[in-house]
Parts: sequence; C-alpha cells; structure tokens
Amino acid sequence: MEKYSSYTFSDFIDDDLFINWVKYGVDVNGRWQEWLNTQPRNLSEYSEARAYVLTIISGDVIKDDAQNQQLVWERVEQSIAGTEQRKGTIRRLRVWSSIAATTMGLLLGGWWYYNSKVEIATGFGEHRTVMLPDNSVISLNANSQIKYYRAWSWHAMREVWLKGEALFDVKHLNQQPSNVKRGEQFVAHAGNLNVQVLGTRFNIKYRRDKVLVALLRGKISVSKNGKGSVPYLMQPGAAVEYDNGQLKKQLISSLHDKPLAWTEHKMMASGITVAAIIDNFEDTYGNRIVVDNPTLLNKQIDGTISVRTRESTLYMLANLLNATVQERDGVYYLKSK
Amino acid sequence: MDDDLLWGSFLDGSRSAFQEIYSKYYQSLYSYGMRKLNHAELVRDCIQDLFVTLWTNRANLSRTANVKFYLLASLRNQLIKVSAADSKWQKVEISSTEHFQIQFNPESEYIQKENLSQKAKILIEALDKLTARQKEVLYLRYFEELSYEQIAELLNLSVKGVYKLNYRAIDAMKLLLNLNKGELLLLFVACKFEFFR
Repeated sequence: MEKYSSYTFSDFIDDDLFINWVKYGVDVNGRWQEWLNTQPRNLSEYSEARAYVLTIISGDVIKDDAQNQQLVWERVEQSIAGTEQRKGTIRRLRVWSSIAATTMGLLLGGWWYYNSKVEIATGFGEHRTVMLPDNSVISLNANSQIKYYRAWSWHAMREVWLKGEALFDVKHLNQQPSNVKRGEQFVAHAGNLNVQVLGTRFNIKYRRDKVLVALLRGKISVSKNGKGSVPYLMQPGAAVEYDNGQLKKQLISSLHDKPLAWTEHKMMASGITVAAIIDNFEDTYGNRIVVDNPTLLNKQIDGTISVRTRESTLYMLANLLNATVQERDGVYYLKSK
Repeated sequence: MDDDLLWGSFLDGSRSAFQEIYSKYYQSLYSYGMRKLNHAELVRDCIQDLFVTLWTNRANLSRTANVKFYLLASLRNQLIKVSAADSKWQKVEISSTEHFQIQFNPESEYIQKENLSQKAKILIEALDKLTARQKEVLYLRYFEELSYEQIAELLNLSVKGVYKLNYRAIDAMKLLLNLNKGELLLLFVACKFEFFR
C-alpha cells in the first residue's frame, strides 16, 4: 500500500484496486482502512478521487425486466433452431445436387464414351494396317480414314465407317451359319453403302462419291442406306460399283484396275484410262495433275504401273504421254513434247 | 463459473454455458445499447442477432477473448450496422457514435452517505457537458471496468486518444474540486469554454 502515499488524484482514479474499493467496498485484509488510518499526506487527493468516482457511478442504472430478458433468449433459441434447420436443408440439398451432378457427369461421360469413335487416318502416300478390337485387320490406303466405336464391345454389331480405300480381313465369329447372332455381324459403312459380312476378305474403295466393293473371299451383302433397300448378296470374285444411287454389278476380272494392286503400290491395269490413273494419283498423293492436251485423258493403258512414289508415278505418266513435267505450287503440269 | 471456462465450454458446443453467458451479460448489453440507441426493441433485436451469430459462428471464435469486452464490441458493431442500414429506424438516433445517455444522480445513496452531494452537484454539471464520446469512455471505464486499451479498441481510437478524452474531463474536474465556491463560478465559465471548443 506504500505506493498510494505518493498517488495524485489522477493516479487514484485510474487504479483498478481503488475503483474496486470505492465501487464495491472491496478491502482485502483491511488494507485500505489501515492505510487511511495512517493519515497519509495525500488524503485530499484520495478524497477528491473518491468523490469523482462515486459521482460517476451515480449514473442511472438501465435494466430490462426479467420477462423481456427471457423473451429475447427464447427468440435466440428459435432463431438458432431455424438457422440449423435451414443449414440441414441446405446440406441435404447440396448432397443431392452433388449426387445429381455426379450422375449427370457419369451419364454424359458414358454417353460420350458409348458414342465416341476412334478415328484412324492416313496421309498422302501413306499406307497403314489397323487391327480392330475383334482382331479383324484393315489395311488403309493413302488419304483414307476409318472410324469405329471406342466402346467396341458395348455395341451389338461390329461397325466401321470408311472414307477412302481399305482392304478388310474380317474375323469370322459365326459358328452356325443357320443362326447368325447380331454380335457376329460386321458392317462396313462407305458413304451411302453398307457392306454386311460375317467374316471375309474384301476391298472397298470410296472415293469421289463412288463406292467400289470387291469381294475376294466369303460372302457379303451390300445394301444402300435407308429402308426398302434390297440387299445384294455377292459371291467371291464379284464387284459392285455404287455411283449416283445406282448399284452396278461387275466382276473383279473385268475391272480396269485390279482391286488389291494398291496394297503393293501398283496399278494393274487393263484398259484403264489416263484420267483414272491421274485420279488415283491425286487420291493417293494429294497433288493435282493438269494435262495440256485433254484428248490424252482418254488414252487407254494396259499393264502394271508402279505407283510406289510420287516421282516414279509421274515419270511413268510422262513417259506414257510423251510429255514433260513441270511443278508449280504443288500442281504438276504435263506438257506434250 | 469463471469467464474463461464458460467461454471455453461454449466454444466446445455447450448450450448451457452459452445460456449462462447470455444471462450473465444480457443486462450489461441492454444497458450499453440503450445508452447508445434509445430504442428498447431495436436494442433487444441487436442482442438477439448478436447471440444467434455467436452460436452459429462459434467455430471461428478465439478462445482467449475477454468475454465482456468481446460482447460489448460485437453489440456496438451491430448497433452501428443496424442504425446505418435499416431505414425504417431512421427516427431513432442515427449518429449512434455521437450519442451516449447517462444520468448522474447527486442524491445517490453513497453520495449522501459521505455528504458529497454539494461536490457531486458541481461535478455532475461539468459531467453533463462532456461529449458523448467522453461520457462513453467514463461509462466503459467505471461501469464496465474495461481497460483503456480495450476502450480504445472498442471506440476505434488510439489508447493515447482515450487517455486524452478522459483526462480532459478529469483535469477540469480536478480544478473544480480544489476550488472553493467563490472561485467556482469563474472557473465554470472557463470550463464551459473548454468543453465547447
């Protein structure tokens, strides 16, 4: 208590023990009383401070009645219950919406997976062999493309979409010819033409809006898209040309260009026109050929022509036509000598 | 129960501790709210909101808070928010920071007991002329017994600023108390001058 003997008015009114003493009469071990009994020199400072604090705490008391206090508490509890219920509802909503979102995601993903297709394409001059999930083998000619379902086994039928030219070696799955299951069927789509097979070897050439199907082994049936189309059952050695909505039945032996020559980078021609060779060149290598004398286009050629490279094909053509070759911007100009 | 323990078990989710905090501090909050915003129902609404927020938000509260200070500060923010945002209360005292109601009583029990009524009357006359801010500082210091640091934080003032607010009042008071009646009138004029500056 010694320090209080040097306290001023300002010191007292800032002192927590002093405030407690004045406000509540709290006097631990009678120390304040004892200190006062020593008649300290700063007693007047003490008295003024005491008067000051007493005056301030004479300020009015504002109290709410107990009933209102209880009422507000009840409102607090109700409001909390409401908030927590709302939270619960929101939480449940969140759970449900996340389940819904996940389901949607799975459905969309599944739908995408079910419908998406694997796409394999070859560039100009490029050949490529593709093995399908059922071990069928497709040899792709240059500048060609096949597509098939990514979810191969999810689909009832084996299906392949072709643009360009390809040789199909379809794995035979059917055990009893009298009972063909849907899963044993294989369909190759080329433009508006569908080639249905069980297991066989055939070539499809789908270029310039024409489809040429040549069957080498087994049986296939060819039909046009749309209802009411009568399937044409082909025998080995047969060929079918589909052009402008018409099916033209032919024999492979009568074709000007042998169907499988391309797999050896050749054209095996009998009576093939120069125009057809140029078309084939353009389809295979992507470069246009312009001939200065159009009558040359109808010239017919027999024999085996190597089309292994762009240059050898051009050289062969130039020789056949007795012309010179000039290249400008990727276009080859054949000028008669 | 001790405030720290009470606060701790409230934070741990004890509803009874929460209710005890409410019971312990409702009147303090009501009194403070009424002095700042003289509108009982609005003050009760603010206290209700304060406690609802307290409960729903308890996961984000810190353990070390001084409970009374924390509650008073929260209520103060709530009052300012409500009186500023809610246009239907526009009839209510809007400038809540500039209003503080406290009525000093020279006839109070202790003052009479110690024969201080004369002194107290003079003091009260001076106290009544204090600004709302100064009254609020005195109230928080002597009624709620907050420290100057806490008061400063509550009122968004520097601690120095709070001291200054209080000492301006105290200095005038001290002069008053030390003078005899003859000199009082003179000083009173000076004092008024001081406060209205």
